[in-house]
Amino acid sequence: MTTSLLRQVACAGAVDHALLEHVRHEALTVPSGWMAEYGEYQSGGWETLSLLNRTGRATDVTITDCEPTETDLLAAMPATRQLLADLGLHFMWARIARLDAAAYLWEHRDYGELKDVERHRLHIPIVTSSSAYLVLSGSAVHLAAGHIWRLTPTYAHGACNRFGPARVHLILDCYASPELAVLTRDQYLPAGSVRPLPPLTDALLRHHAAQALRLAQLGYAKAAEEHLLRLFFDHTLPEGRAYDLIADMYDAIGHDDAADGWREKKAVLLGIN
Amino acid sequence: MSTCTEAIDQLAAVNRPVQLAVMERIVEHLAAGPAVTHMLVRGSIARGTSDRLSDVDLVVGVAPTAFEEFVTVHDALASTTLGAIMPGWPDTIVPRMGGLGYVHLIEHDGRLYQLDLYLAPTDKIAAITKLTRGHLVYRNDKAGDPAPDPAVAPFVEARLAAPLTCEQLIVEALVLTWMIHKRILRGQRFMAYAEHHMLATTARTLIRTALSPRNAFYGWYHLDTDISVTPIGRSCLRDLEAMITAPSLPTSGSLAASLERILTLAHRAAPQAVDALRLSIEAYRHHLELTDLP
Repeated sequence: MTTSLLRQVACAGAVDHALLEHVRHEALTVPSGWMAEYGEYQSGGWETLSLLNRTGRATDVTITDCEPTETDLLAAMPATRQLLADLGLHFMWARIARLDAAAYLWEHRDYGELKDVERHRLHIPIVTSSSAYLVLSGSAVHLAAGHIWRLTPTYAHGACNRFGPARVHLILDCYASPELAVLTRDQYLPAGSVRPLPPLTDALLRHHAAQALRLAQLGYAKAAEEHLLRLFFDHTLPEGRAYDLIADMYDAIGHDDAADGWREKKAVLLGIN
Repeated sequence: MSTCTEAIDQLAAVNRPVQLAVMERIVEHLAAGPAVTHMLVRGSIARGTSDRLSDVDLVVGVAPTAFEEFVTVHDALASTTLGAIMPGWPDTIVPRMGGLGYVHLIEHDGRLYQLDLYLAPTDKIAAITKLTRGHLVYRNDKAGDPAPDPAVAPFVEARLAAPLTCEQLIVEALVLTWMIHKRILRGQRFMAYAEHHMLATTARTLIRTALSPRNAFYGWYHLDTDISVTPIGRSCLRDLEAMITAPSLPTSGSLAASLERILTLAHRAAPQAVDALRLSIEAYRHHLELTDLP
């Protein structure tokens, strides 16, 4: 379990405490005009700005392969600029990302649309809490502040910030390089960072499916969908099971188009051909 | 003159209480369901006496035939669409008006707000409006005038009579602490006294429910003989004694101490209930901001 999880997410090093405090101050005071990203893979409340990107404009946030330049935002954040420079990595893109309270990035895979080049994603948590965590392979992984975390986002995963406060991370997409190899040489999962999620028993499954069905029948279809999507963050589920449950719910109330729509969405989000 | 009025209107808009935005969001979400027939605002917002700490008091009229279903899913609805950070507390303070009250703590724009929801069958709305002087903010004109459902009253009675679980009692303690904190900030000494007494009773009921559920009806009686026969029981009673011997008018410091005692004894007596609420409790601590923690 731990070995498999280590391939997907791991702590790759620490950030200097004093520097992190300055980065945190900048992160909470400098960025404005956050770009809300909307998409089928998330609930809302996911906002980003670019620090390094193709155009130098912080509001260009759709990542793509490039040799990036510093954005106007990073120029106004000297401690953050120093932190990135000290890492000495071959960056593809760097963003500051905010995940608001009650915001979810549903189960999905990343990088599917990008060209086939080895790349890695690092997270540096700036502001976080225990209710902000990733879910991978049936485990909740809290990325504690003060560390650099490596995430391999081609595995199915999700992220949430259940109750707040707003989570703020630096997200660094980088190409393979000797510096990255050194940084990620000794990877580990700190004690207390991983919480195995309990299985969804048949009784619980029936309970939640019935709750969702009632919500949908009362006219709260979106709440019903979210109720089922959130099961991925509370329980160990087979890949894509939450999407199947939504499709089943719509089948049960005769909404065939909605059921088909969720089956298609599942294929897109999980990169299933 | 009109410029002055416009300027003041702009200032008023800028200083609009956040609770109105919270209420708008809630009304918009709940109105999506055709079973919701009415929504009334009651309490200080309806009376025009609210302040920045005020809770949002909403009465929700529900078609009688859908009432039981609505009550059954309303926690899931509050969690997915209203930003509730924990299950609603079955409100034992609200008067009996033919429905069921729940208190939710909801996150909005980085802050926590108290939402008092009173769910009532549509046929009770006229009487509730008169009693509470509620202000109608939503009416579903398509709902017509649904007839009462005889199944509602026994359902409500059964819900009111059901003893609270350990998890619900922990939520009760968190909600009461939230309310007492507001009383302290406002200088409402009598209400702070009353709710602080309730908090001690909640701690006692939690101990009884976890460690002596068959004797729950004894209340404060026979605690020594029922509970103190084990080390866990004795430790819980020591925490309870510390709570009841604290000053009856709480300060922020003594309230923080009481909260810690309850959570400590809850962890000792009902660890699974605390674990189920762990993330909620941590988020709650972040929002409560009892600045002079001991």
